[in-house]
Amino acid sequence: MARITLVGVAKAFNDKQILDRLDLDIENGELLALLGPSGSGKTTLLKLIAGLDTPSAGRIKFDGSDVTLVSTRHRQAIIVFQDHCLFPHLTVKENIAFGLRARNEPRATIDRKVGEILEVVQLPGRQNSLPHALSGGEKQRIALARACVLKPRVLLLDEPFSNLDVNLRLSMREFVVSLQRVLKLTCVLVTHDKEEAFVMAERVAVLLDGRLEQVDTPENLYDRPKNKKVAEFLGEANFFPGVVADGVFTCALGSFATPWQDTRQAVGMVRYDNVQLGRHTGNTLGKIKDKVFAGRYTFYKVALAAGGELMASCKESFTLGDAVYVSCADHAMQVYSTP
Amino acid sequence: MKAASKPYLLAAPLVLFLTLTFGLSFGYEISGLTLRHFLAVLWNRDFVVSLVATLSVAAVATLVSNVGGAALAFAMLKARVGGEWVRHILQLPVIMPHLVVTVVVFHIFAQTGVLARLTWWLGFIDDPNQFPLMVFDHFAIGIMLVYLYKQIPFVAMVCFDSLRGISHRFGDVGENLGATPWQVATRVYLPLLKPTLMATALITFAFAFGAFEVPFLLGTPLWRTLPVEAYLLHINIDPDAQARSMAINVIISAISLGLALVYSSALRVVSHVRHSDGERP
Amino acid sequence: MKWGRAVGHFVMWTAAVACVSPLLSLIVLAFSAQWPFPHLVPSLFTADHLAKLLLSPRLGEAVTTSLELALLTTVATLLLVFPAAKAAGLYSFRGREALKLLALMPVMVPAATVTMGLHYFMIRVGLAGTMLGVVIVHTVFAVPYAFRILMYVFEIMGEQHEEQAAMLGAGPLMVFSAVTLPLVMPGMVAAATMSFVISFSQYITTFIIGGGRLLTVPLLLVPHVQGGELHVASVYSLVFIFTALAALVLLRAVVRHYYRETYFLNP
Repeated sequence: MARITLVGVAKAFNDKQILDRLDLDIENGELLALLGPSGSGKTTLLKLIAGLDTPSAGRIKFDGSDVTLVSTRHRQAIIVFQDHCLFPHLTVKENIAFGLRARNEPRATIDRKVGEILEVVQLPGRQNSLPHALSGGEKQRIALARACVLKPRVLLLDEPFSNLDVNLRLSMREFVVSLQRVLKLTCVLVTHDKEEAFVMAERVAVLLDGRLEQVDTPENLYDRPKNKKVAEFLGEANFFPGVVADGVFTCALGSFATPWQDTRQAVGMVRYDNVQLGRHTGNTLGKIKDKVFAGRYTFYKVALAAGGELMASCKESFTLGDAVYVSCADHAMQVYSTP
Repeated sequence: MKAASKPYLLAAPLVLFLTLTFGLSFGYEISGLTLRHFLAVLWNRDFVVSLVATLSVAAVATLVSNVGGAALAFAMLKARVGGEWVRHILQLPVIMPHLVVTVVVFHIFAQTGVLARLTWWLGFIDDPNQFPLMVFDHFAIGIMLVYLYKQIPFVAMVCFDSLRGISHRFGDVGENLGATPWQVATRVYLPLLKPTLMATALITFAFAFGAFEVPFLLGTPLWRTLPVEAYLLHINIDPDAQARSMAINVIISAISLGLALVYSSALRVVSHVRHSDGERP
Repeated sequence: MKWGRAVGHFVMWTAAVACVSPLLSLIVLAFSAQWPFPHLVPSLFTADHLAKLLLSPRLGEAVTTSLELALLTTVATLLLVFPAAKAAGLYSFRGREALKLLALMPVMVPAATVTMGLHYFMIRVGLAGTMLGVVIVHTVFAVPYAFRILMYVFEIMGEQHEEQAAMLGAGPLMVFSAVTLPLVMPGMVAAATMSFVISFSQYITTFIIGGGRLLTVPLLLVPHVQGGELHVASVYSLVFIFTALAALVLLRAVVRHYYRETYFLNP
């Protein structure tokens, strides 16, 4: 395990900037999720940490010592890929033993460690199977075992569950979190799935277009996205243009307190589930225009009497055409100044 | 951590080997020649006949083997036998050496061959001389038979693999949209097969153009293919003949090189079209 | 749709018969002792003549030389092609297309042409008439096939397995022997097969560079075709085919012995 520090890490391919001067601290034993849409540079960053590629600028440090130029072979940062990348010609046991053999560990130690880790990943008795005989979830667990048996300084998971079906994915998430806690691993999980990042990680780093926009706990990230880009990426958000004056932000939804005392243009953001719809009380009047039932919630599209539309999700039931009062708590309104 | 020079270092031995062998071969031949030699060769009637004949034989062999091979591949697809045994049988001609096939063509198609005996038994001919000349003939039928025996299965096998890779769902979609089987074959599969057919056409043409043993053994005394002509001049002790041989070889190399360049640029066009269709990355 | 399938079957069976019958007729011819014109089958079958031909010392010499040349060519081809095919199959770099075109050149330029030019050079440096000289020329013509096969295998394999091995701490030697080589072994066997067969069937290249000092099976065979002695030619042809087949079966058996039979490149 190690504390991972990125200082001004950048990567460009053929003049195209993939990663733009990232600074990031990953605590010892922490599970950090790297969240971003495809093409945002997540996998590139993972490869830089693993030493499969070198950054164009910046330093990578493990426990304070610079590893930027240490070869992948000696870096002990191991990626578990989405397609698990088990060696197809080696048995489960040989796959897990691969890294131990590379370290010239004695045979007895190898056997013992392989046995132990197979217990940990709950697959004892599969040692002599070839990878193609395993199910998708089993393959992924063996790939994890192959990495974990080496006690890596950091375990890097590259969308490890996206090839698995939904139920398996849920149980694998739990499994990985418990594995990480039992083995006290420093772990970076790359994913494009918000829910996965929120459920599994202690902190989430949002990577958009090669920039780290926000690194925060899931709760903070969800309630207080730092800027409009992050809020848009996380989704289910309404935006209202408006004006800030004398510490008050005014928009179609009403007036809200802000810390800003000057006058400026701004945009307010409210999540669908922070919009309150009421039959009798509320800030502004609106009318239910559309309705989609989605199980836990129903999504409503509301046309505001003052003009404009918004989306709300709630458990109450309205019918199309119902007149509703729309309101939103002060703390649920995030205000970003517009440039 | 990958150095940018890595692929170059890996490729270096092969590149060195090929440029050296080709360079020494081509370089030696061209170094002793002057324009006069080339003119002497080009002015020669035998050379012109050889050139036209060689190109014609290669063109006909290429056309027939690619049309036949593609048809055979479609037939295999239609018969829906992707079984290993068909592949094994089709592999037989591909691995049979040309020399052996030449022996067989002799044995079957000569005027005293199996086919001639068969027509005698059926009463069509009374004398071997009545059987049409198919070996040493002016039209290079014997030569062509060897090429076709080896190349039709080759083309069929490559096309069949390619067609199987294309997935029969395209055909199903086509039929679902109301196309006839013929339309499916010509409008769906054939265009998808185009890059494959270009490659096989190139290989079959290059082979038929440059083959030595087959025309050497089965050719007519009336004209010779270019490589045979070059060889017969090469073993001549007359230095002038040797120079002519070199000149012919330089011309052959130039034609081959041109062919390779046309192919590589044509392939770029085709693969560009494919990419812009967004069908595969 | 029914008749489409029937036509397909008909065409395929015709092709299959056309593919196999030459080999059968060759076998009949080899065992025949007398077979005058109008007869459809030989009037006398015998193995005596066959045995005499097979036991001739010249045939033994030719088979030995052919096998030696083919083995050396195979080794040389694989050594040259393996790294270059890896570069072309795995990495994208400036000049990759040129490399692919260069490796295709021996298919494009006629063997006789290249060999005649090289002959002058080989005479000068003393390689004419030597085993090494002939192996060099055979290798040139085996390269394109081996290159294509191995490049394709590397493309399928991708870089990921090697990267994973390095991440797990394996050094270059271990990555090569424990990961790369086993994964491309099926391609290596196919490439070796092609190289072997190509060297084994060379005639004009061996004839020009060998200058009569090296006797191979094709060199033994050709004069009999020219002389119209088809019976002798058929016997040598069969030897030709079966020696090559036996050598290849042996090669596969050896590889299977050392590597597991299942190499699944797919996840």
